[in-house]
Amino acid sequence: MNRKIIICLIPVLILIGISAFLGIYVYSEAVDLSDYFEGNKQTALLERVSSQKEINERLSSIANDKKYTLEKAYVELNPYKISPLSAIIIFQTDKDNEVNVYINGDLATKTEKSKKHIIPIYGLFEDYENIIELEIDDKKVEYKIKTEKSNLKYPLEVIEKTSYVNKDNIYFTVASYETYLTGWDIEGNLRFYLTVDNRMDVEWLDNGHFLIGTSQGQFAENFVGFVEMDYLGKIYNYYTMDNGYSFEFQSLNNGNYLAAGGVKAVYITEQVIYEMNPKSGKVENLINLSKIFKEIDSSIPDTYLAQKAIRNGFYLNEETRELVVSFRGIDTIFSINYDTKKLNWIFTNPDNEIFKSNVWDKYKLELVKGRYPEGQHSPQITKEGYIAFFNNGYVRYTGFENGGPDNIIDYRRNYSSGEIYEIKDMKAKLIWEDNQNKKAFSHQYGSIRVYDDGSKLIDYGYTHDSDYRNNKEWKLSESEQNPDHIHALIVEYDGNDNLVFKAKSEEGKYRAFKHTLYNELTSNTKVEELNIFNEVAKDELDMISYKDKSMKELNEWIYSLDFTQNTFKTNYAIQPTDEIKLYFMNEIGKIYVLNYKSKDIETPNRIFNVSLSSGDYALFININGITYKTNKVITY
Amino acid sequence: MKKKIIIISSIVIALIALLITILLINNKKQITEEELLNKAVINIKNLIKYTNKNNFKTSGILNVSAKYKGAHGEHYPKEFIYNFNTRIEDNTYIVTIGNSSGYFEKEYKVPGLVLMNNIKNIDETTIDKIFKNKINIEELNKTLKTDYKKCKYEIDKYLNIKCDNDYITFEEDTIKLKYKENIFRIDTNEKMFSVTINDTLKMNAIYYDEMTRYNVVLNNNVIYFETSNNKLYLNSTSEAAIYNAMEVTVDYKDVVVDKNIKVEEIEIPIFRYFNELNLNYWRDSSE
Repeated sequence: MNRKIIICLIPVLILIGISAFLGIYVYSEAVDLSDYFEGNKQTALLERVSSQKEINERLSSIANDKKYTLEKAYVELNPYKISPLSAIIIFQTDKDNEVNVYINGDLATKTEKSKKHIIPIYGLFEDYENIIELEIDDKKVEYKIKTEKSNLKYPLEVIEKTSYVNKDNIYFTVASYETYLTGWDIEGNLRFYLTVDNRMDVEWLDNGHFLIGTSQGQFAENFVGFVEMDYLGKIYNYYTMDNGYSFEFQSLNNGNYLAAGGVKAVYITEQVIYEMNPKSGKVENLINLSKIFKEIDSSIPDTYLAQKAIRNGFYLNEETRELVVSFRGIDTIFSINYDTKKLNWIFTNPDNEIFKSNVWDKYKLELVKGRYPEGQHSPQITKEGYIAFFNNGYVRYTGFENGGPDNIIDYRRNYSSGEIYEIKDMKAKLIWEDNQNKKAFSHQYGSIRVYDDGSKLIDYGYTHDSDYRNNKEWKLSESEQNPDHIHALIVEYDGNDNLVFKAKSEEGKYRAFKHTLYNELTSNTKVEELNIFNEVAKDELDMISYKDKSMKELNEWIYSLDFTQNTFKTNYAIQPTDEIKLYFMNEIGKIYVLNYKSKDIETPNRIFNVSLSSGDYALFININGITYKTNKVITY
Repeated sequence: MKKKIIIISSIVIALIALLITILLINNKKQITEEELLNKAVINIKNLIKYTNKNNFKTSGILNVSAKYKGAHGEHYPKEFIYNFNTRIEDNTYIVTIGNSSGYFEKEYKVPGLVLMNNIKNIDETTIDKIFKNKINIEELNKTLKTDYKKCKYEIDKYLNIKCDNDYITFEEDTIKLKYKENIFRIDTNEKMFSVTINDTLKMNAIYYDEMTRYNVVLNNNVIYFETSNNKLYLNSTSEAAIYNAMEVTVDYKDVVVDKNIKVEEIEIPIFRYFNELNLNYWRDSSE
């Protein structure tokens, strides 16, 4: 054999042998790791949001398909799977056309001029063959859309309506018992509902969309974030905020949003209100409410400036720069200068022991007529500069939740009301009230909204049934178990204080709103749009490998587990001394470690931001040195 | 000559690399039947030893913190102190709780109670007797108070003992057991053991020097407790009735429950709370 060939062959043979050895070794290791990637797969992003990407792509592709014409349009009921009384109709025309949209005989809206038509259909009747007519110039084409029965347990019963009520009004309610966000017409027909838990405040935007909380990472009424959504249930923008979100939004004239939260999301130690830019997701201004109070009186208890404040509403008058805020937990409404962040006044009972120090005297309003706030909701500054709020008539600070009287008969004289006050020269004078003859007592929930035309919508959200109120054995705490002995009462007055609408639901309603489903001119749905803003501060991650000793013996995770990039929820009872780590193992065995809770921190829960590069990660949980496999694979 | 040495050396190196690879692939140790049986016996002995650490006792003082539900994540607690006694009669746990305001006595059928108590009380000598000559069915029936007619002993990959319609399988550190239509899985290691019954009740028990920590998940209810020689701490975090959670600290003491005034069951929060939880996990209605 040629000498040169032999000399060349030798290293080749050696290399082949070593390569074979290494190849088989790596393969056997990879096979071992692949066992960890069996299990339930989910996205790191909230599933309710991530699932929309695929729908957007599909609808976008349909919108680009020229085969769909006015006569043969693409029609889909509930395209985003969470709004059963909505549909989408897609087609193309040769020219830019406007489309008149008739729903069940009524002209609902006109769409913008376009060749590509992506028309959202809202307000279908349930269990009905809805007739949709699309009109371009003189041509009208009919489509039928059959909906299913909603089986919603708590309908809206219209008790009274007059001819003055706006027939296009939809009365929206949010509830956390069984229904979520629902919309009812003036006849009490269901015209909109979501099948997912989005709630607290709903803030409508000029483009016809609305903001609503996602209930992600929920603790009490605090969430990590919120969405901008339309009635299809389509999400346009999804925000997870470092300050979180709870109870209230306001969209401002400059395009920004005002929202309420905490110094840190969800587990609130100090209450804040922040202004954020929806285009960037960045916070541009922040008011720390706790600091404002502490600067005046350092002895004020921290707990009542934290979660226990129950900061359930605010309102900014953009002209006068006055911000009013409700702290239901201490039965107090207060006013702040938004720009200077200084306290203007507090409206609270002079016997309120939270404000017993003399330093508060110069801030306290004197009541000339009316009542002090008691467990109140939804403060608002009307266009005249008056202060409106829903007065529950229930002193929350000394309520049964804090060891106060629990027998409902102890509250037989209490009543709730929608109230409007003129604040002048540090005096509060009641100038308008609706109290249902002092017969409605709603110890929790409730809202009032005063509109620019002077009309008022009031929600007596948790009104106790009269026979229940007179029962000596029954308790307020018992009433919160289920809505069997309560109802919600919704009343509307026009600008002349005529009652125009009254309705009842057997479910407690946190708030009621009125709005139309369409603007006069409707844009085509931007199906491709979905922006994700994750503003929660990123966590530093440690790194280990799958060969770490903590991975030697794995135990089964037996508890529930909800995980997203920002939230970890489980029914494992986290002990104050527990040390908890979350392990994210990639496909080559590298493990990224989030230190979720250390031994010396008593607070069991927090929000975080685990940011990883794209790929699949097997999730493990290490508690006090013992590692559990969750059989969950998280896709980033 | 040199050339030959180089060629041969290269081939030898390649062959050695291949051989190592083959050995790695076949690196699973062959386990003998005796080793399987010994491991099974050790696992059972350890399991019994650890479950007998920090046992529950039958009387003492209950400090109950009933966490009443608040609408905003509050758990406003109300505190109660009771004496308690427990005893077992036939297959039934009888629990008596009371204080100066009154008492209530309740019977609980705890499925599998007889079997669990019999297993816990087995000593090491008895275990050796049961597993002598593979399986001693008389000793087994006598110890567990069962009436198996026939037991079959099999070794496949793992040790499997089948007695009538029931079986027990030892898979390394996992024990799988079928008893009267109920399926158990028990995993053990140095730090803890886990039990799953009918994929419904799941429990981890973690050993520490002075106490054992139990986490129980049953029909989405989570109960955590710590047991030591003189104390028990229990924390149940499920919502039930008008409560968010229930916390109980037990000081074991010789106490008697005053039975002069009998009250309604609902007046004792601990009964009211646990009555509302779905704690069913057993398949055999005869127990």
